[in-house]
Amino acid sequence: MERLTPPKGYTVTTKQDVEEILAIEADLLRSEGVDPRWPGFPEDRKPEGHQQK
Amino acid sequence: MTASREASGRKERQPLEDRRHTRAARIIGLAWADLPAEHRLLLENIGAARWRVVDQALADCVDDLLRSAGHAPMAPADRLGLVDAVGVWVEELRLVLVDAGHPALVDLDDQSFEMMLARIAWHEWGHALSVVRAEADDVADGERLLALAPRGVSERIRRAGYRRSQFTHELVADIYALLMSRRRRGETGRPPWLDDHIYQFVRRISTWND
Repeated sequence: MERLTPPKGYTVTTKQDVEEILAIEADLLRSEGVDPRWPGFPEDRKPEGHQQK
Repeated sequence: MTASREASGRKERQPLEDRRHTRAARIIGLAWADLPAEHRLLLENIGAARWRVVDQALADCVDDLLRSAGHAPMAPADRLGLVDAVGVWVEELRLVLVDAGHPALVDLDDQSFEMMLARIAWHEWGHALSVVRAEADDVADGERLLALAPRGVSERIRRAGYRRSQFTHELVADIYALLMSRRRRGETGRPPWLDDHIYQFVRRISTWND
């Protein structure tokens, strides 16, 4: 079968790495006066899409 | 834990709790539901609408899935692109994979876990849109686009060791995820921290019209 471009993953190495990603996002949001706290998803919303098990 | 692993802050892999696995799948489904309807349609059309949450290193997982689908095994150099990956879109399989048991995620509190899982999913959908819809000139423009990006974003992409030909896709993926996260908070339009050239580019790639 045809081989397409090799998949390239979203790389994260450590918990500190994750915290840095979230901190960068929080800084950007804060810089425009947006509350960086995660609002979460509505509790009553149903997940959608095509999950493959 | 080996000395080198300990020094790098990396953790050994532990089995993912069932509760977290189930939670992760729900989060990805909610992140999908949060996408604008036209984006979902676009992702359906390019083969990036299906996902699977796994508890396995993605280099092994992707290789196993490719082999079982009749593809050649991944070359060692290609596997390198998946080392430490927490999410990936595999174009041949038309499938987004998220490693919810990735050692970097296991110690996160529930809120950070949800935030990061949503971030990963949005990143992968943005990445898929870029890979399929960006023109060759856009890909060649990656270095310049990165120079226009918010510093924290560009520094992370450079540090992660992506090739120059991947800069554009990684940037679109990250900005797309940031815009979605911002949208979750009710914010639309171009954020003041985002260069207008990048914003217009991401809009073109994703049909973003907020």
